[in-house]
Amino acid sequence: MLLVADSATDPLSDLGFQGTGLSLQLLELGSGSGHLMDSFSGDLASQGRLLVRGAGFSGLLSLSQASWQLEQHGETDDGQDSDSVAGLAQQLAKITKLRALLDFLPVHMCWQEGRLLDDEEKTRCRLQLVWLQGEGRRVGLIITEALRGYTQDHQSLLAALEAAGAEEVTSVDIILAGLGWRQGFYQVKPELQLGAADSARKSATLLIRTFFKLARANEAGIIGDLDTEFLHDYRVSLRKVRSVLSLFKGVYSDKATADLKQAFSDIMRRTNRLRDLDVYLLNREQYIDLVPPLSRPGVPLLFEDLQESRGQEFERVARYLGSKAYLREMARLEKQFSSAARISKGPKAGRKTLDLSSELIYRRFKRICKAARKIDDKTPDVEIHGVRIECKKLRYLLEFFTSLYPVDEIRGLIKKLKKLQDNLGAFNDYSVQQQFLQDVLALQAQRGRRGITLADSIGALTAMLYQKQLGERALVTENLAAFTGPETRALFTQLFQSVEREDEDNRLLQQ
Amino acid sequence: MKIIACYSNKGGVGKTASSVNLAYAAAQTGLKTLLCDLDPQGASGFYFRVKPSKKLAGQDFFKDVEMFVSAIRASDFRGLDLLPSNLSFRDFDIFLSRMKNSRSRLKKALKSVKKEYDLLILDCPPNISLLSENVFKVADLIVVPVIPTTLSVRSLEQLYGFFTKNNYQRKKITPFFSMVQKSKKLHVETQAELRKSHKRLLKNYVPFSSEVEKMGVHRAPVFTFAKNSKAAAAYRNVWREIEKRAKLV
Repeated sequence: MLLVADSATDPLSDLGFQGTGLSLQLLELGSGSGHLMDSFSGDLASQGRLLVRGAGFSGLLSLSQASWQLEQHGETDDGQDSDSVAGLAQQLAKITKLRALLDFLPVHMCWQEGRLLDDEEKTRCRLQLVWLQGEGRRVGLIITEALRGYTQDHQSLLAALEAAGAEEVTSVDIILAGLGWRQGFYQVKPELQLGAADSARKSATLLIRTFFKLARANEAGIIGDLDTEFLHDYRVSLRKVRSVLSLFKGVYSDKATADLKQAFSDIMRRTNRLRDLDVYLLNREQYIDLVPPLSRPGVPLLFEDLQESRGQEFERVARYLGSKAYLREMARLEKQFSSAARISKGPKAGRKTLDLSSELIYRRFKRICKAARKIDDKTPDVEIHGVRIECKKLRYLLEFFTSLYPVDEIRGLIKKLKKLQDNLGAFNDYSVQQQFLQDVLALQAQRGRRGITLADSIGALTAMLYQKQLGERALVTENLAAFTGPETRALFTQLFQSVEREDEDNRLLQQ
Repeated sequence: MKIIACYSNKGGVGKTASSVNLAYAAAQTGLKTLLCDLDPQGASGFYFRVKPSKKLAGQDFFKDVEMFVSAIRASDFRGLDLLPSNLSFRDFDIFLSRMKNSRSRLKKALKSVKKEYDLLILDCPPNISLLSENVFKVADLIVVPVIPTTLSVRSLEQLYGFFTKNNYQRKKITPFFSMVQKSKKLHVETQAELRKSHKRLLKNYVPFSSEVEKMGVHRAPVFTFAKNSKAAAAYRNVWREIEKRAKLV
């Protein structure tokens, strides 16, 4: 696929074919105004796709397939979700998953088909052209198709197009830049560049500032109820802030740390219930599949109730996020993190970041090893949950400090840890879900047919979830052993242990 | 991949126009089709505006399978490719007679495109030759356009006789009436008579049509410039019958 950027003259008007007997014939097929669409995190762009939607049409450009698909459809007048894009929906859903498609740039578009003809008007090559016009900037995308037996003509066409200024387009970003859109998409995993020699307090503040900013970036999406991932990312970001506050213990003063932890805890609590409900609602299909057919009728009833609760909870959260009190509090916190010097320091404030990071990571790993040694198939569940928390902390540490270590090794460790975490996480989820359902059952006051059907389904679900929990539990011992095995230990030692700390660590080992 | 030959041992029966229109109809139903013009005087290239490949003229054609494949040209219509006529087919008879296992040469060349096409239509020269005989053996069906006159009927009988004499499969021969003029009593009578004795005759027929004559002016299959004409409808129906006979549906 070739791109031809904005130029005063139409680049296709003179391709230098005079005298060769070849000519380019273009036919306009359609035009219209619309918007470029993508998820908040630019999932389509990252997969080399560009989606345009206008009144009555949707078009999808795919760089990897060098294709342009156009679908024309009637105006939706039956209250259909305005994000749906007819037959392209399936293709796109695989890429965007849980994220909604949002307009991000208004464009005017026209599309043409072209043919390269010889002196007998035989078609030697086919072309498709899509012209996009953004804020006064215009780009043209050209897809050429070689026809069997005429490859030389195709090469000539490509050469002529390139001579006229067309270039191979390798990423959607280039197209967007050509349209004057440079702001970029939201990145859920931003690059965290820490300085090895920086003070721990400086690094902690940088981390908190980054995650805080990420959380705020999601507020509008939550209030607009665009998709479930805005709230998810918001909470994950705040959780990471709290995590920095805990893990970097001693970097800020005890009082400062406690105050900040409390402040973030208060904020997070306001969205707990909504997130829970979102997650359960996403599980609807799994739950239906999980229970025996005889117990299925009550599952939709359960979800009707959950949906209603969700609606109410959403209103509460939207109100909260738009409230003066919330905005004031977030502004206050943001100011605090604007520079490291604003927060009172603790005893470890001046430690070099690299030293502190290695120490924190290594110790956390050792703790997991210690716990793993004690765990077998008979260990009570509460201890398993304990290890899960430790693993989570280690994961955060590895992610926060990636920039300080060889990136491939860190990525490798995170991958191994993820496997263990998935197991522990699932184990925890199943246990939490059982409790949640019991709470639902206790709270719902329905009697009669509906109440009985609902109770029956909840009973069946709880039983199946318990079976799943046992299934995960059976894998824990093995996964823990795998993660704390000699190969991983060697890698942790190599990357994070320093000789000076060895004695201290050996002391820990003996405990 | 199915191979359908379009053959007549008599000239001027609308063989080339039929090959072109039937190939187009086939491609329209979604079959990836290759029309091979084996007639040295072949005009199918003209109808598709494909220039004969200058490089290949006068060379031993089927000898090099790669050259065979490289001579294929995409038509202007999706799903339809053309192998334009090559003057060296004139020498093909001589070429074949010198080779041992001559029948496998054509088969070998055609095998190279087996994976790429659902259907091969072979537009054959109007004679009995080594090439024609090779086609008779390799084709799944041999479609024969017949003008409903006494002379044409004689030619058809000669063809059947030839098949019987050489032990070729008579049931491959699939005649259909072409250039039919309902105003002519002879045509009407001949049609009726032949239908009694030849059960493999297609039910559908192609009327004489000025549209088909204009193919040389438009240089395109009749569907592209006269899609609602009787001729277009007729060719579509003839194709549907052939499709069933060849078990392509």
